[in-house]
Amino acid sequence: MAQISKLQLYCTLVVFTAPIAFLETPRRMFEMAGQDAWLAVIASIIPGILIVMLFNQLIQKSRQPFPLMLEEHLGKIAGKALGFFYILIFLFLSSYTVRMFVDFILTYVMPGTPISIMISGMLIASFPLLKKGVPAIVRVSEISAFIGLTTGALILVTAFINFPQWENLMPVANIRIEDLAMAAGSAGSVWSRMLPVLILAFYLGKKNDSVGILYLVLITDVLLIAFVSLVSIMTLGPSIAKMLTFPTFAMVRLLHIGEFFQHLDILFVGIWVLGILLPLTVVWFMACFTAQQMLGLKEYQFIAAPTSLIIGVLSILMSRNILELRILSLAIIPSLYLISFIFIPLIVWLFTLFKPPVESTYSQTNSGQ
Amino acid sequence: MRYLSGKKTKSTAEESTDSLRQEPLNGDLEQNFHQLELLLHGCSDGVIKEFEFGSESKTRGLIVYFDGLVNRTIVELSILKPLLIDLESLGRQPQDFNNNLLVINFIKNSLLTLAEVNTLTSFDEVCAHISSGDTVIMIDGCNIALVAGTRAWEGRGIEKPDNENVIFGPKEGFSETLRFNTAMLRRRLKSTDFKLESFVIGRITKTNVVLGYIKDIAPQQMVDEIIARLMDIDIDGILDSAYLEEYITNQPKSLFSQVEYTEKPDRVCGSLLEGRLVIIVDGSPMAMVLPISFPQYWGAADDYYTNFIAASLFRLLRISAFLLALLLPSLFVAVITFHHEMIPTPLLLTIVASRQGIPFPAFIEALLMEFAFELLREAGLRLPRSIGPAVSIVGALIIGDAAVRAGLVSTPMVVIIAFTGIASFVSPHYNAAIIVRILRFGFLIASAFLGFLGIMLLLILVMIRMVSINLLDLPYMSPLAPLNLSQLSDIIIRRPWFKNMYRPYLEGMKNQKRQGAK
Repeated sequence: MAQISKLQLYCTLVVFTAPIAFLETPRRMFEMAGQDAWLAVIASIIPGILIVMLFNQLIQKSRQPFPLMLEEHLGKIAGKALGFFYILIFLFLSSYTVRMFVDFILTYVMPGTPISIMISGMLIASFPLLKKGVPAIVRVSEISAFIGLTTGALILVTAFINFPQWENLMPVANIRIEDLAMAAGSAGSVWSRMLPVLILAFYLGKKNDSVGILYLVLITDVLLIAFVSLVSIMTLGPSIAKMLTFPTFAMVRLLHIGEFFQHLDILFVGIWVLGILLPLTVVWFMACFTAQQMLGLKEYQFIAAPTSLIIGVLSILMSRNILELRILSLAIIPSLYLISFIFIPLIVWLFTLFKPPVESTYSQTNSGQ
Repeated sequence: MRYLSGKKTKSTAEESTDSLRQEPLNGDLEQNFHQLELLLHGCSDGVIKEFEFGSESKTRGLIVYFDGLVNRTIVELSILKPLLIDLESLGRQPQDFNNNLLVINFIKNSLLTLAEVNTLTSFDEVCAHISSGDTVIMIDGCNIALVAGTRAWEGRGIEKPDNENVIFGPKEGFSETLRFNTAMLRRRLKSTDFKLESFVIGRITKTNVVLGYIKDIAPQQMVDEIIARLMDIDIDGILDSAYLEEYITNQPKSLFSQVEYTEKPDRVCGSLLEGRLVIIVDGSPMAMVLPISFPQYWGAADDYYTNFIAASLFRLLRISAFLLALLLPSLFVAVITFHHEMIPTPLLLTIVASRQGIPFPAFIEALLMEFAFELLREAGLRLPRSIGPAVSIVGALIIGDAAVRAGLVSTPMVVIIAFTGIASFVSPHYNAAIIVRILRFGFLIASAFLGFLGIMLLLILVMIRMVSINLLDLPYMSPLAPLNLSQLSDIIIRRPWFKNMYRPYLEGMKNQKRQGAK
């Protein structure tokens, strides 16, 4: 039976949300809130709590995991249509995740490496994990969360010690409420990436245990990103931080330990590979799992190979360079998250408003584990 | 035209031997003798001695055994003497009994001065027992034979294990004799809950294999599963416990060994007390402990015989050595080839200067040095003990020095490889060392292609492989994944005994409490 523990669910959700948020959220916050970016991240806990409550309600009132809960609440036709829509969304997000990371590596770490090599490397690493199934994915998440959180804490503490420039934070809270709300909302939309809980909660012994985990993940992410934003501003200053595409990475590049170990960015990138592999695998798993459920297939593993081609090709064709990707991430991705990770679940929740909580009837043998 | 058939057929002699072996014993001693002669034809160490006993009416009998496997003194004093001399001195005669079956029973229960006497009814059993060092006694007129335990052969006594040196703790090691080994365990586990179940595996070798476990600690379904797997083995012969590993483990094709081998009885007992099982094979000094998870390879036997703070530090040292042995050459190649900016400028200049004129890229240098080191290591193992270590050391020094002077490799690379070699010897488990030795080459290749990124991608692939291995419901990366903090504390460091209240959990374990039962 493919049961997972609460700790494994926590680690999977943290690893799914934190690494990308670690890299891209501070930049958006610097643009929107300047030196008060860290305040905006802390304020994003409010939309985060609302998202957690939304997901929790969907879990309590559904017998089946996502995407079967769409059919359960919206009816067979609408549920199936949305299910197919989500397959495309998850495939697109998988491609975006791998492309964003690969562009980052090629721009800052290993220029000159063919993009197809890097994308293939990521997909080859993710493929066996996907084939092994949920137990392997959550076990790797545990190890990744342990390594990632430890390394992240080490980097942040080192940055804090290297560059204790408190004056860069001044003036504190010098931001209009509307701007703070916008920034908090923008940061809060990232927490909607906890959507995999709508599948993984049904692998727990009791799905109700997921609500505590969700709050814990939210607090972890908020604290982590807030601290990253704080330290980045202290290190770089708000005006420089706004200009950079990846200010967190630039901050790590400046670190040194004992005037001997320097340019720790490559270590950070190495650890971050682990952190990107899990979101890629989880979103890819969601695409394959959704396809399996929608098409009524026995198992999803054989879909991994054809979808790997789709993801690989789509990630190459997605944009010509990192600048185009940045436009994509500013213009399209937030709307995609808003619609598919918040708006549609909200609609489903409205349909469940007057339904009582129910027990899960989901059999894990359906998942092909 | 038999050679054209392409099919091997048994010769008539082989067929008849097979069918002879299946036959039951005959009441006619002459026929039994004749059949024994056929079965032992060509076995120059087989001994069949006929005798007569009873002064008034001679009753014929014979004993059969393999010379070299029995204790002749026991055969003469405990079997032949009672039959030939003591029977008469007791005033008994064979014809005093109504039938020869009663004779056999009297001999078994009242005459032979041996602790182990049983009855046999077929030639197959006779062959199996005499091959194991027992002596078989046949009496004319009786279709039942007696088998007496007379095993004694020359073998290695209890010595210090060659491959597991410890500073503190017991220094006894297993030998090739099964009963010595089980006796060493029985001496330490003085409980009838400590079970030793015997099996005979191997159509020709008929090797005795023992499965040991502690009842009510080892999960019963684990025991049943292993018994089923052992009973399923159908092979000509088992010569060592390593033969069984590929039949027992779930992923026999994996590089990652899911069992542990040890020559130390104290280590076996420690594992048994944690609910694990042990398999001991006659003729092998290596006991197989299972199931094992990979993090356990970082622990050594004498961790529990030293102060827990020191043991914890040594364990952390071993973990660091493991990571160094696995990753140091590939990290060096990655940094030199792709990530120069990581190294401080003075050090970078030193390394660059030492690499001036080296015709090979760092990757090839590292590969050559690693290959040379592996050759020296293997050669050192195969050479006679008196010159092996000397050749290894001299070879390493000369090759390293000569290669640097010839400008084939740089000095930093020699230092890195030497340091890696030393780090790889820190591992107390040979299986873990093998994993590191093989994977190191993979990491070197990955670092040559993609630098640090390649190392991480390969590390991820290795991690994925390891987390998906299970043996007897124990995940191979437990207690790292699934994470179990209470058990992890006894892996990363050595938890003091007063904190070790519970055994590491195994699926189906009912009795997890180790201390405080009163």
